[in-house]
Amino acid sequence: MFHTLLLYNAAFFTAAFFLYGETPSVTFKVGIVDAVDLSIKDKFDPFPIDVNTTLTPDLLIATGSNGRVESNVNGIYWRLGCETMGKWNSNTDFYLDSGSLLFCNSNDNHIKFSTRESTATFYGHGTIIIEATKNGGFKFIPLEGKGYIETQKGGSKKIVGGRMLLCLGNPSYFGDAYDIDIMLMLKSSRLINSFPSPLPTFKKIGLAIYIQELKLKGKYNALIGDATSETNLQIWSFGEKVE
Amino acid sequence: MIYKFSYLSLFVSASSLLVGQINSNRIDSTDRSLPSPVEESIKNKVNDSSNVISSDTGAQRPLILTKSGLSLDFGYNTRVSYKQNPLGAPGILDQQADLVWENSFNSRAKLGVYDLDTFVLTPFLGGAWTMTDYTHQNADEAIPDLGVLNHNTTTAYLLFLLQHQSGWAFRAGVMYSNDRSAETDTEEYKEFYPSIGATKAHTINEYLLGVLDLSAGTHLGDVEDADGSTSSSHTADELDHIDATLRYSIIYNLDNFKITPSYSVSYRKYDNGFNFDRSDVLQSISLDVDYPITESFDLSIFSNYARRTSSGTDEAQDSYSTLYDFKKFDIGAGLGITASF
Repeated sequence: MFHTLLLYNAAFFTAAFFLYGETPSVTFKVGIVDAVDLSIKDKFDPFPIDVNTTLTPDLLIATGSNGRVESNVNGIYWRLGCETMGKWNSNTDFYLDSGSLLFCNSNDNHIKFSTRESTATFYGHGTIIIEATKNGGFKFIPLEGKGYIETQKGGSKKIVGGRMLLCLGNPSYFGDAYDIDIMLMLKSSRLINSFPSPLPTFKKIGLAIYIQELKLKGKYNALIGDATSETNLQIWSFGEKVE
Repeated sequence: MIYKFSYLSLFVSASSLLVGQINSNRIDSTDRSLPSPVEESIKNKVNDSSNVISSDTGAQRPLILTKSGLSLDFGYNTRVSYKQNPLGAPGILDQQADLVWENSFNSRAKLGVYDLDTFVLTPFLGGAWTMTDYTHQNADEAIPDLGVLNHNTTTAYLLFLLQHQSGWAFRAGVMYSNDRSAETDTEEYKEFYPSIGATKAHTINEYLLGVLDLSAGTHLGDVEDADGSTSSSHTADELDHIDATLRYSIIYNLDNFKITPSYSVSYRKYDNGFNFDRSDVLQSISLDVDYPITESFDLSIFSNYARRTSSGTDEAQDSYSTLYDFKKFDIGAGLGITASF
């Protein structure tokens, strides 16, 4: 019995090692997407990348004003929006300097997201949008999913479809949480709509929208903007609160 | 709900009717069914007017959500309709035409929202009290005043709705209903109706949404003084039957109007007492127009044409079709107000 368990665990961790150790590579690209090889010291020489480019930890990726890039390796989707800069440390670890990205996976993972100031680890599966904020932290917006997110100072929080969390500071902690209209995000997000292949979690996003509809009491006539400091979050109002 | 006079009562002399000997005995169960919250939700969905420009992340509009999903709705509906054959009498369409006024108070509690990964479970508990009044008098008809059929209906139901990520919504529940005569304050009919159903909506184009609804259930009724006869073949459970219904609707959004043409076909099988070995096919086409005046106040116009064909024979070898085949046409308008908490 003990040997069987040992073998099972060995097989699981070996599979996980190969799966998560997989290096992401470009599977779709549109517009201008450049990279800088950070392994070359004292030289900052951007060069264009294309489909099939392996996204090693040495490559800092930067997208132009209409540039977008996607990596889909072993069912783990990464999408970078326009005017975004960041790098993959591995297929489960991304550093976002600025801009926004989408992560999507149907299987449980440990995914590390970091920005200039903040770091958080997500345990679970789901479709998540990360947006870097001016204060050096980021917005963590799960469209759907199961699991929890952990920061060094803020402990862990269960993720809820449509509930945006702010990750702030270093050591990182959680700012306020906001329930966000997933349907509106779905309609207006280019990270979801401007790529040729649909996300495999589309049906689950539909279910998350349905749950929001069942729990809905009202919508604010406002939109959330950037977090300019650790205490300031921009809210753009466009009318009265609708009950 | 369908009331119908007995076959023999159609031939009762006008004089006996005039002296108040109208017998409003019941020979049909109800057409009520468990509500389909998914269909209601699809129909009530208001287009979001907040058009925002696309961005990479997308617009982030904050919402106010309840923590558990518990909610309570109260509503009042009033409907006035012209019914060309309100009693569902066999033969020609235009019989005992009447103006029928229905007033209904209803409530529904949503008992939480439970995320089961690929399903979302929502239990509902609801009920309604409805007053039905036949308002028109016509001396030329066999029965000049149908007011003797005025009745009050009480319904209560428990419903479990299971929304699957594929888009199919399944439901299962039980409804209790009870009809009491408003004139004599006596219970005429009561039934339990356990049923199951499934609904799926699909987009036809930008403006049209198709909704397929399938349901099946068992009517377990108790009818008082069935058919007004002392014949031994009549039993309190003779209106019990199973039914299976398919309905297809198209929802057309035109500005704030929701225009919904529907077709339904229902098969019903009876096996008790007088109705032994009877089967019915009920087909119906309808057109509803809904207009929300405000978020909780709406106006509707509705019309429906229904046709029933019965097969089988009673113990006297008389065809059921002579008793139960009918054509009906209704058209009317209604107002509804709903308060949600």
